[in-house]
Amino acid sequence: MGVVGLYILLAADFVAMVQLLVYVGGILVLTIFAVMLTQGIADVTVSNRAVGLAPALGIVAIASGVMAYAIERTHWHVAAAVTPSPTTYGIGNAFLGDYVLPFEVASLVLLAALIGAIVISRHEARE
Amino acid sequence: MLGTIGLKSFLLLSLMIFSLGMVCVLTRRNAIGILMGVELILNSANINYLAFAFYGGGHYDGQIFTIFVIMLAAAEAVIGLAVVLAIYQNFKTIDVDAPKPSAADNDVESDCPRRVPSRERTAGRSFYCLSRARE
Repeated sequence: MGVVGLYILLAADFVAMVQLLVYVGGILVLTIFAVMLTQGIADVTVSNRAVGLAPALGIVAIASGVMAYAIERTHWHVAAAVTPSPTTYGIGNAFLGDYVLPFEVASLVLLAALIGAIVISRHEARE
Repeated sequence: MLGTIGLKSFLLLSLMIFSLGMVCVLTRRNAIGILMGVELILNSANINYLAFAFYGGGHYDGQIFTIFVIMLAAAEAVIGLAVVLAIYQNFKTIDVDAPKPSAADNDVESDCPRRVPSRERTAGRSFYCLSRARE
């Protein structure tokens, strides 16, 4: 995705590679599989397709206008520019140092998601 | 390299991506489209994290939070698409505005062991009794 280029621009090379691997290897393949497995989603004849378009656009326009106003009005304190350097060493140290508990909880969350997806998508005769 | 691009530009870009994702979530009737909108919203949050981490002195905290958000996005995609597939197997549609099964349909369930689903009749009646009769 194009977001990866922005990450590299923001001196986050490790995060960019993680994003690339996760999205190309995982989420994109899953989405394509879901689109292929659920056939006939394109030819549903919906007469009022744009029924929620105007309220949605209104809500989003108001919210984004408020946020853009806040972004423009706030005086952001920008620190001195950092020189881009490899971040893998620091991220590894932080993951096994200060952030070791969220790191382990994240692995548990991924395991639970894997098992949950298998349980949900498996269909068997219950009776 | 980033002398001319300020923090404000990244925040505005993130706001644009967030708005597009929000419109996608609010207007799509397709459940997979809604999940794609959620991915857009999470990506805009990631851009915010990394922009603040870069312009705030180059600490690693923002990047670590970004990695956690990417992990949550992957888990959310797995669970969401599994739920979408389960719904498709039961209802033969992933339209989020499709009518839910009512109490009147439960009477029909007893005498329809294998009802062939027809897409144009889903507005009148749901066919979740079909999956129970599947071998």
